[in-house]
Amino acid sequence: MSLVERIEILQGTLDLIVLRALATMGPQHAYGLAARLEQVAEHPLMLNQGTLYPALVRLEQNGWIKGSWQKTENNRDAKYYAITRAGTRALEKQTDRWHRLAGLVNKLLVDEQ
Amino acid sequence: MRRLLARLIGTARHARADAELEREMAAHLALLEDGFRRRGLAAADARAAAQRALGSAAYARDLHRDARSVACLDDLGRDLRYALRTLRRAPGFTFVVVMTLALGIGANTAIFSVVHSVLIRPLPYPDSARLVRVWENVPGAEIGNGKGPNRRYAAMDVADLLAVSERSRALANVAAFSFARATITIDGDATRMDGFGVSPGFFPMLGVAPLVGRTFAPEESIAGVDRVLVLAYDAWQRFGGDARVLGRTVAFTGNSLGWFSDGIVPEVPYTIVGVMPPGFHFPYDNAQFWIPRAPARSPDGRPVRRETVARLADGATPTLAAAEMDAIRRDLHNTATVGDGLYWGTAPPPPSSIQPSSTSMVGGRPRYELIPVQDELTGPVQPALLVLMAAVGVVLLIACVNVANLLLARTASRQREIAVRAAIGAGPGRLVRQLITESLLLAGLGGVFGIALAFGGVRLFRLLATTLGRSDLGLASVFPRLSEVSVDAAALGYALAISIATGLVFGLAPALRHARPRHAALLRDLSASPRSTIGGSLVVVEIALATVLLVGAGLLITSFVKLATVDPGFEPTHVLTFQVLQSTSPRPEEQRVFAETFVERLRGVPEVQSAAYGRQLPLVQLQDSLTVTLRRGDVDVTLAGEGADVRFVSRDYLKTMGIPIVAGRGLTEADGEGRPGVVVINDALARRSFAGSTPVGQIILFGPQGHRVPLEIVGVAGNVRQFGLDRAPEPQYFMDIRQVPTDPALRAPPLFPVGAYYSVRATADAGAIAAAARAIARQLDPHATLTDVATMEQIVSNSITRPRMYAVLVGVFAAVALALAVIGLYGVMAYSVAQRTREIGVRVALGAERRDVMRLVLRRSLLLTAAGIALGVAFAAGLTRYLESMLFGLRPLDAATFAGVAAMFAAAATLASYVPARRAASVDPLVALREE
Repeated sequence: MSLVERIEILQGTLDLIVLRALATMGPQHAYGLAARLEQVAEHPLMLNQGTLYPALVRLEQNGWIKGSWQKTENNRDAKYYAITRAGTRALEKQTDRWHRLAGLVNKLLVDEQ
Repeated sequence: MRRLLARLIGTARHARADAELEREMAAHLALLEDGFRRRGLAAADARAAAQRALGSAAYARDLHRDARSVACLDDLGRDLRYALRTLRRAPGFTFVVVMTLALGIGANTAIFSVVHSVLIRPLPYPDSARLVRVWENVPGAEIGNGKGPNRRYAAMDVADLLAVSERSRALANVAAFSFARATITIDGDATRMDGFGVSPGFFPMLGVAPLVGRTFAPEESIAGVDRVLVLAYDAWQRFGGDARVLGRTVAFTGNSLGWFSDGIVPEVPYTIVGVMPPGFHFPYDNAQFWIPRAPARSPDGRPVRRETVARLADGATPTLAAAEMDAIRRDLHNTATVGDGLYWGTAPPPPSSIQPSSTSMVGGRPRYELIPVQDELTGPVQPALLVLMAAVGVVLLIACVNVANLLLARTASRQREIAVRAAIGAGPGRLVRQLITESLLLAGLGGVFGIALAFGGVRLFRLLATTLGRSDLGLASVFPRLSEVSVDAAALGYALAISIATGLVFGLAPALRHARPRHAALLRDLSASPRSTIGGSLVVVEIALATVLLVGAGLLITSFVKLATVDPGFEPTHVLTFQVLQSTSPRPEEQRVFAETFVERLRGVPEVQSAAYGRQLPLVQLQDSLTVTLRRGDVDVTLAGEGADVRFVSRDYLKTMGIPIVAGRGLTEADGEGRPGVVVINDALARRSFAGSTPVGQIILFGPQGHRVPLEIVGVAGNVRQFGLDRAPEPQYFMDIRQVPTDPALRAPPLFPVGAYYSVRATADAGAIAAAARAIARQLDPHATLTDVATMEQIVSNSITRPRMYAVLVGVFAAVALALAVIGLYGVMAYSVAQRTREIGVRVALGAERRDVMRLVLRRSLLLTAAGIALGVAFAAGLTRYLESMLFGLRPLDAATFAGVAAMFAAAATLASYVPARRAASVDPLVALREE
C-alpha cells in the first residue's frame, strides 16, 4: 500500500525526470534510466525499477518518446527509448510549469512557517 | 485524447503488450544482473539482487496494464470472465436462472412483437395517422351484442359525402369505397376475387405509388370510360406477375354478382392499368383489385350509402372535423333526415367489424363520428392485447422475484468468498460491480434464449390466430394485421431493454445487501440473518401475482370451454360446405336451376346422405331481418319492433344441417314453386311471437305491402346460433327457396347475394366429397371451381379462434407463473430448512416428534401460501372486470373459478413444501449438533 502511495506522488515528476534524462543523455533503455535516477538521487533503493514501466507507457502513448529494440554494447537486446520532437516541446512546457509550481509551493511553505 | 485512443486500443491488445513487456523486463533483468556481476557479486547473488531491484514482475505488469488501458473496461472484462467462471461452477443454478428469465423475457418479447406490429406500428401509408373512417352514429337505434356501448353505425350517404368533400376544410380528402366480389376466369378456372369500387379521391388520398403502371385518372370515374382495374400484388402473381399484365383485359362473371357488386358490370372487358406494391391492401386485407366507382346520388332521391374514408387536414382533429361535417349536413337538410326507408333490410356481411345497418325506420338525430383507420382496424383486439401484455408483465415480475430469491440465497452462501475479496482489497463499489456483472450476464443469457423463445412464441401466436380468413364468416374472427406480425428490430430492442432492466432489478438488491459485508458477522452464526423474512415476503408477492394470472386464465378457459361446448343448434360433424364459381353470369332463376341440378346429382354420390343449398349457412354473417306480419282473422298485424331473420333454403337444408324439427313438419319436395306457400319458424320466433298459441297452421305474410304472399307455418325448428356461438339464437324462419319470388317488380331481395352455399352430409371424408362435387360442377360448367370449401366443424372452430387463442395464451402464461411460484416457494422452504438444521436438531434432541417438525415447516409454508393467495384473490377481484368483454357465460367474479384457483394453489404449495418438510423431519440431532 505504502509503495503505491509513494509512486503516485512521484507520478507527475517521474514522467518529467524520464523526459529530462532522455533529453540530456540520448536514447536509453529502462535499466539505463533507472541507473541514472539512482545516480542523481544518490539513493540506490529510491524506486522499484519495475515502476518505471507505467511511466514509459504513458509517455509513449502521448507520443513524447518512442521505443525500439537495439543491441547494447555488451550485445544484449534492450528496448531503447528516445525523446521525440513532441517530447522535447512537452519537456519545455512541463519544466516551465514545474518551476512555477515549485516556486509557488516553496513560497507557500516558507510563508506558512 | 490521443492517449485515450491509445488506451482503448491497449485494452483490446493485452496479450501482445504483455509479451512485449515480458521481453523488455527480461532484458532489464539481464542488464541489472550484468551490472551486479560487474560489481563482483556471484551469479546467483547477482540474479537475486537484480530481481529485488526490479521488484515484483506481476505488480509491474498490473501497473503497466492500468497505465496502458482503460481500467473500468479492463475490470469489466475481468468481471465478466470471473462471472462466467462462477456460473460455470454452478450449472444447476445457472440453468434454472437463465431458463426462468428466458421464459419471462421470451413471453414479453413475443407479445410485445404482436402489440408493436398491430397497435403501435403505423399502417403502411404515408402519414397514416391522419386517415379516418367516417360513420353516421344514429343514437336511439342501438343494436349490439350486449358487450360494450350499443351504437348504430351507418356508412355515409353519398349526397352528404359530395357536399362534405366540396365544403369541408378540416378534411383534406374524402373517398368512398364499396365492397365488390366477383369471379374472373384465369387460365380456364373460375376464380373469386374480392375488391373495392373506389371514388376518384381514393388513391391520391392514400399517397401510395403503384408498383407497375398507374392508378386511376380522375375522368375514369365517369361511366363508360371506367372499365379499368388496378391489381393488388398477390392478385398480380396469379396473373403471372410480370409487367406484360398491363393492358390485358379481364371480364368479371357473375354467379356471385348480387349484393356486393353493383359497381361491376359483368361480361365486359376491364383493362388492367396498374399493380399496387406488396402489403397494400386498403381498406381491408381481402382487397385484391380496385375499380373506379364515382359516388352518385340515386335517381329517386333515396340515400345511397357508401363506406367513407377521409384524410384530416393539417391541424384538424377527428372531433373538429365531425363537428364541421354535422354543420354542413344541417345546412344541407333543413330538418334532420332519419332512416333510409329501406324495405328489404338485408345487410351485407360487414366488411368491417361494425354492426350491419338493418331494417326499419329509426329515429334520432344522427351524428358523424370519425375514427382513425388504425383504431378502427385494431380496436376489436386492443383490450385483449393489453390484457396479454399485462399477463406477460406479471410473468416477468414473477421470474424476477424468483431469480432475486435464488440470488439472495446464493450470495448468502457466498458471504465468505465476498468477505475474502473485500479483505484483500476490493472496495464496496468493486464488489457491487462484480455482483451486478453476474446478474447482467445471467439476464443477458436469459435474453438470448428469450429471443429464441419469442420467435417460437410469435409463430405459435400466428398459428393460433390464423383463421379461414373468410369475410363472409365475419371479421370478428380475423385477426387484424396478422400478416405483419413479426419479431422486428423494435422487439429486439425491447428484449434488450427488459433484459438489462431485469438484470438490474433482481441483481441490485442482493448486490447492495452483500457489498457491505459485516466482517464480524462472518465469524458469527449467519443463520441469524433476516434473509429468510425477505425470501418469505418475496414468495408471498410471487404467489399473489401468480394467483392473479391463474384466476384470469381460469376465467378465460372456463369461458372458452362453455363456448366450445354450447349447443350451436345444428350438428356440425360430417357436413361439408362450399360454393361453386361459374364462368358465366346466370340470372337468379338460372342460378336456382343450376343449384337444383347440382344438388340432385350430388345426391347420387353413394356416400352422400343428404345435400342442400341455400342463401347462407349458420355462422355466415348475412343478416336478413324482416318485420313480421301475421294474418289474424281478416286483419294483417305487423309486429312492431319484432323482426325476424329470414333464411332461403332448399328443402333438405334442415335435415343436412341436423337442425331438429320440434313441432309439425319440415320442408318437403312437395313445397315447390306454385304450391301453397309454407314456412318453418324456429323456436325463438314461436316463443316470442306465438306465446300462448299454437304457431303451426297460422299465416305469416311475406313481401312488401301490396305484394304480400301468405305463408302457412307448417313446423317449428330448433334454434340455431346464427351469428356466433356467443350470441343468443335469434328468431328465424325458413322458406323453401323455390317459393321465393324473383320478379323484380316485387322488389324481392336477390336470391344469392353472395352466391349459393352448398352443404353435404356424408359418411366419406371431406376431401373425397369435395372431389366428387368438383367433378359434378365441371359437368355443368367446364370452368367451374369450388371455393370456400370447409367442414361445418371448421367453420364452428373458426368462429371461436380468438377466445381459444386468449385461453391458450393466458393459460400458458398462468402455468408458467404457477410453476415459477411453486419453485420459488420450494426454494425458500428448502433454504430455510437448511439454515435451521441446528435449531431443528435441538428440538428433536429435546424430544420433538417427526410430526411436530414437519408441522413446523408446513405451517410456515401454508402461512406464506395463504397470505399470497389472499393477496392475489383481492387483486384479481379488482382486475378481472377488464376481462369482461372476453368472457362468455360467466361473470368476472365467478366464485367457482376463484375458489378453484385458491384450492389448486394451496395443493401445489403443500406438495412443494412437503419435500423440505420431510428433510427437516429426518434431521439427525447428533449430526446437526456436531456441525457447530
